[in-house]
Amino acid sequence: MKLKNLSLKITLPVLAIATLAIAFNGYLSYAKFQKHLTQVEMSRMRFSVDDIRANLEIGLRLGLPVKAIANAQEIITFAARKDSSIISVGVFDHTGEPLFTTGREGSVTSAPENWRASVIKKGKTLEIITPYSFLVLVPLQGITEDYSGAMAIQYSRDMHDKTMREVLEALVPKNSAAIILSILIGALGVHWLVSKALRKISVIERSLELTYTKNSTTPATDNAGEIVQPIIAVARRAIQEIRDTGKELGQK
Amino acid sequence: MTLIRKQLYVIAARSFFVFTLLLMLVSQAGVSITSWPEIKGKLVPELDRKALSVSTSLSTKIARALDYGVPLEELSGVDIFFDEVLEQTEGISYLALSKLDGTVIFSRGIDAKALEQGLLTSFEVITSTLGNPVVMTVMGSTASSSTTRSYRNTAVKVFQQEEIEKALVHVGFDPGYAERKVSDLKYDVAIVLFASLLIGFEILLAVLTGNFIGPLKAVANRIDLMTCGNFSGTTTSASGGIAAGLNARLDRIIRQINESYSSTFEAARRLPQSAAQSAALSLKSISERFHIDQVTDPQAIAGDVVRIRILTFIFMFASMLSRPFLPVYLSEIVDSSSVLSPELSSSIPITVYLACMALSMPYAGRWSDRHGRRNSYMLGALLMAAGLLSTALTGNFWVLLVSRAVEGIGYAVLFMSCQGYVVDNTSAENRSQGVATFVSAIMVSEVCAPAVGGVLADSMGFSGVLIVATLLSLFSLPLAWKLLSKNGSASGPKERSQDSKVSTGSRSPLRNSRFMAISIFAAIPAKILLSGFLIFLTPVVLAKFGSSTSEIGRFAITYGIIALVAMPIFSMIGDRYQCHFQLVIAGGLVSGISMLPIAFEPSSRMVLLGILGLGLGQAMSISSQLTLISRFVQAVDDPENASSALGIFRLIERIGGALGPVIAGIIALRMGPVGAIPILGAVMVSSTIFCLMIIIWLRKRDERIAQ
Repeated sequence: MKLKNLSLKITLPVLAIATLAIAFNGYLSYAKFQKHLTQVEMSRMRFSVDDIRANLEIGLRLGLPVKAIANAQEIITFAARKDSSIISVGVFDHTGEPLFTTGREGSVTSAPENWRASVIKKGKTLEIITPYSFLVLVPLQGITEDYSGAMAIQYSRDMHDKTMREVLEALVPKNSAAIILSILIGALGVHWLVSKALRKISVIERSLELTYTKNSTTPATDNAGEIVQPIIAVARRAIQEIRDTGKELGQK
Repeated sequence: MTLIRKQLYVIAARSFFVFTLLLMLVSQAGVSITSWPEIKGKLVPELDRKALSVSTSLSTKIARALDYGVPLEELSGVDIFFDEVLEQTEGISYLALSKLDGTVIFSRGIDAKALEQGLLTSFEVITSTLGNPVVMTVMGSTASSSTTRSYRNTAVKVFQQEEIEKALVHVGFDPGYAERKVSDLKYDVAIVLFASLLIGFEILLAVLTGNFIGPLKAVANRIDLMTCGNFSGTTTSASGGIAAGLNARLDRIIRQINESYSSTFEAARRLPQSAAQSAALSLKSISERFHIDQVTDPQAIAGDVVRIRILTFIFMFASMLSRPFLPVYLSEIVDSSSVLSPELSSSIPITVYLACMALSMPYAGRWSDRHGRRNSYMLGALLMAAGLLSTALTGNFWVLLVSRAVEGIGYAVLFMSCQGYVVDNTSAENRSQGVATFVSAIMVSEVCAPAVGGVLADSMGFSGVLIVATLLSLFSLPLAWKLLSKNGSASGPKERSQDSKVSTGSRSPLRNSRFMAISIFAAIPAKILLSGFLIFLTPVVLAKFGSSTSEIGRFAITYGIIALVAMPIFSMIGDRYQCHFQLVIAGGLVSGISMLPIAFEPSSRMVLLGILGLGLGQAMSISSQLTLISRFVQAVDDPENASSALGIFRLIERIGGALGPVIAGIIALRMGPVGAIPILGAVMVSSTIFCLMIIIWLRKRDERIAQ
């Protein structure tokens, strides 16, 4: 009972920390890979977005408003056809009104409400990862260096999700196996160490019992005797002195 | 170490530690090493897709120029254009334009001749699989170089008027790029592995202390006492668990001695008066020698300082998790809601935190003395959790300031509760051992918390890490309830902790010139540098240099590791050669000078040099400063006032620590965060020289007076 209790008390936290560490490492590998993959994907998307933007801005730099770029629809349709991962492309004027679109409708519905302030007013590029797509919103610059409009490109997440699924499928069995093995080895190992420690303690207990209570002169085993005998010797000396005093009293 | 301790618990405890840490090490390392190649492989297809996008785009642009009738060899600006693309597109090693026969016309990022040779050897494969990557080996660029490198070459055709094949665009990826990306993950995994081993050690130590080492240590103490002839008392506390059998047997021996003594004593009382008196004297002598009939509980005596270690570790860990990103996170929040500049706005919350911590520490100490360690620990943990949570959730500058203040007060209460517990449960003989236990928990968290915080922030965001820290603080509540139960009530008129002793004392140490010189010109600048550089500027500057939070975390733990390793060495040197003052001066100079090179080469390497120098300098000066302060005060004052002076000294240096971020913020406002580092270093160097001059002048003045 003592063995089981102690084993359990030590094993549970040990296994909890070992399991948590493996799980955390697995999560870390997954999250870190996802971060790197997203970085590479975003970098590719930025490159192709810059390409399309450069084509659109040729017209804007001639002084045309966004809606007057004659080949805008052609540019975005060609871009969407060339890159199968593009779900939709939308070109907007400075008020956020969609002027040209291709692919699936509503490319910016998943963009934050205040996207115009950030993209058109501040000239910042927004990169948003939604559960269904990657959305890149870029400002379009006109001849006066102000932002005349914006372009939103929605990329499919299919490849990303597929890769992440594959990574998960690779990591889960390995981490699970490591956790199961750790639990088994940990539980057995701690149990063995606890029983070894308890055995040593019980040897000392027995040695105390034998040497003192049963008055045996031979100590149990090995070092236990070395531990026990000095105490017993002092205890016997104390008792002897008390008895001697008692005897003296009897004589009186 | 006595044989009994070895046999009872030391060998077994060591086996538990070795086994558990090995299990954690092998399982984590094994699973990571087997996962890395697979993970790395998954990144390559995406890199190939990127190469194809880039090559298609370049091909379209070159085709447009060809459409205008510019001959292929006379295209101008291609080099500049390729350079721009290479700079903007991470991971691409080279870009090249070749004729259809493989003759390279333009190339950037690689030697044209070497590429041409490489293309020739695999030209057939390249032209038959256009748009797909081909692994190609390229010889070293110089004649003397015999090294070869392999690239993933993606080639696409350039058409004139959309139908005439004119050239090939080549985009080369270094396969080592994926390797480098994954190696970043390797560092993170190594950090997590290292941190998990330290955390595992702390948890195992707490578990073993409660269930194994503690009870057996108490038995070993009893056996030691009995061997010396001390048979005082049986175990009165609940002695279940692992040591129950041994305690029962030892109790039986003591009981037998006591019974024998009692019966003899009773017999003596029945004797005539004169005989009874002489018998009582003999029995008293036996009782005194063998400590018979004295009620003590050896288990209760064995106050367990180790149990505070895990509690100290948890709250320090929670408070340090945010260190690698806090200034960056704060600047994000304050950006929208503060009217001050971003540099100043992000430094003020850190200063508020440190100031509240410093100023509330003396009161927190007294409060903890009065209301008990458990109550104060739990209140501190609640305050800290509230502060962390609202820092994680708020978007308002003023709420942020209040949150940081609450967290600072919580930290002070927690710190004083733990320190007070150590004082309560140690005597003058074992106080330094108890303090070492407390300090080692702080150092362990200093070493692993920033690194783990950085890694976590990379994957779950800044707020996520702050919420994890909140949960950790809350997790310590039930633990404190259980572990500090024996010490839950107010500690009464016990010795008060040093930091709460700031108002007592017959003569104020503030009138001691040497005390003031060390405090103002050594301690305060050192703390300003520590908090201004390490806590505030390092994350800001490294983020500016493009480091991820994991990398910043790795930088931050360097300080902890250096301090952990070097501090005992320098305190030993200081004690052995009695060179504390020299160490304070050397420490100040080392930490200050190490901040200067960044002025000439603004890079992450120089930040690391600064951190290393700071760690080394602080390791030299911290313990020497304390020794010097107590020596200066003891020389002129009542020695008992030394601890009060230490309390005042700590308060002064903590105020210095609180000023650090705001001073760094003000300098950064003018000079930029990178420019602020050498300024802080120069201030440190000059104040150290000033301190040296003052102390020399004081010494000479004293010599003149003595003469």
